Amino acid sequence: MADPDKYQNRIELLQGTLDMLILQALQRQPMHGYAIAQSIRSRSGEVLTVETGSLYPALHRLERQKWVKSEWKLTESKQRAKYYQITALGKRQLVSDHQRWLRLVRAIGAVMEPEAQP
Amino acid sequence: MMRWPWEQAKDNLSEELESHLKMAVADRVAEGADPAEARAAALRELGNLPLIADVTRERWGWMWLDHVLHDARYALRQLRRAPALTATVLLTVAFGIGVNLGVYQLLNAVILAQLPVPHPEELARIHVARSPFDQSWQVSYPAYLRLQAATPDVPLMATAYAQTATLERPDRASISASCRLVSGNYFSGLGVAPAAGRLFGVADERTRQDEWPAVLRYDFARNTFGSAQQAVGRHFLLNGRAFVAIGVANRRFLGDILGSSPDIWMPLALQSTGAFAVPWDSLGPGHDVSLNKPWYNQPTIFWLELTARILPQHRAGVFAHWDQVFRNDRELMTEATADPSVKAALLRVKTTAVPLSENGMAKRFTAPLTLLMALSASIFLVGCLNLANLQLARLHGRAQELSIRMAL
Repeated sequence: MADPDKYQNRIELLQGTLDMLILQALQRQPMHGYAIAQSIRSRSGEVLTVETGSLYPALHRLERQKWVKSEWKLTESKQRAKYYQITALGKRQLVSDHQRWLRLVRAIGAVMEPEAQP
Repeated sequence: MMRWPWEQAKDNLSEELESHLKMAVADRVAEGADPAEARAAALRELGNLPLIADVTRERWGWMWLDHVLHDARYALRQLRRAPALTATVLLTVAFGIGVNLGVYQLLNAVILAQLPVPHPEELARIHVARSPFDQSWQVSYPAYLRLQAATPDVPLMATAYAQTATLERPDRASISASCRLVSGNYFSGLGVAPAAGRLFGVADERTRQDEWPAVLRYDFARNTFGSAQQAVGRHFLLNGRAFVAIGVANRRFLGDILGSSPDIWMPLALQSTGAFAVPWDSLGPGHDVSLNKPWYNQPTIFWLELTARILPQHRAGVFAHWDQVFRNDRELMTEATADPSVKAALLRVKTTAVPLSENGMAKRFTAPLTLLMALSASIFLVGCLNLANLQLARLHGRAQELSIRMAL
């Protein structure tokens, strides 16, 4: 029997970070889920793969929080797909997420490489 | 077909995931993979689709509703599969609820209900003396006037029974109506509001009227004249006397005695016409009683019941005052007997207040009705227990099916 915890855990693990990555990816243009996953993968140099099982729950959660809105459109290959677009609220959220992320990276960096600090 | 919004959303979600899959396959095929292999690889990458859909749907926060609907639908399906059981359960529960409601309403009407007037707890039947022969708590009209004059700020109402009278209207069959004679302050003292027209005032108490005023009970007015409004101003004959309906009492007011609701209230002064039979008591033979003359100035005809509205904390003072005022009447009553101990007992009687709810009907029916309520409630309970047992037994028969369902 399948274990829903497998997906749930991953969402919790990535929560916040994944939201930020998705919002960042949508900064430039509206995209459908598949394109968002591809974009994050290629921009991270194939390091970060976003699992579908995390991506869609995250997208629907973002939409419920009104950080993104969605609309059905046709892709270039005439395939119907749901396009997500960042909202003003989402942009504000992205700024605060980004700042929090920078603080976190700086703090972790300070702990891991104390000699690099002046 | 009409669809729930979340069903729509569910379809959207599966289409969204489907389109994701198609794009992933298309990308792989574009890179030169075999279509069948590409699809398998994409599916592998995608993971457990229904589970993803489930987890995603949970983000919407409606899952519980979905579950409830599923359960309800499943339950209905089960019920349809066993119509005999369903009918049994439905009938048992419906009858149980119905019977209990019915008995409770009876109990409520007979024992628990108060008069539908403001502050019914202030109202009480006033017992000042038992009449010599009937042993009923009735007083004469002069005594009533004396008691009323002694405490002008206490509403003291007098009522008397009258036998059922014949009501005649032009071009209609005559009907019989139960009547009650009441003092002019009866409705104002009780606090009853009219549903239409006006109720009695002091002016209605005068004797020798060409046309007597009458107040009708709401349902009687509706059944006889069409509606409460239409009844007001109607003329009719009652035992051959001319009457006009001046008003209709509030719909919920059925009289101050539980179990007897008069159709028509009329002024006490009507007694003087002699057209209505009113039960009475007196001192027995040899005393100056002229039944054929009006009773309002005869202190030895006892025919009025008293009802008063007094705050419980004022009762002691008012009653002491009334005992003083009523002393002469009690002494008059002792003339009915020669036995000195009976005379002494009569003189020792003190004024008391009895709650309106405390009448023969409530006393007679409290025990049987309470028993009936308990009985019907326990029968319902036993019925429910039986149904629960029945369900349990059926569940046992479905143990295997249920264990498979749980595993899934």
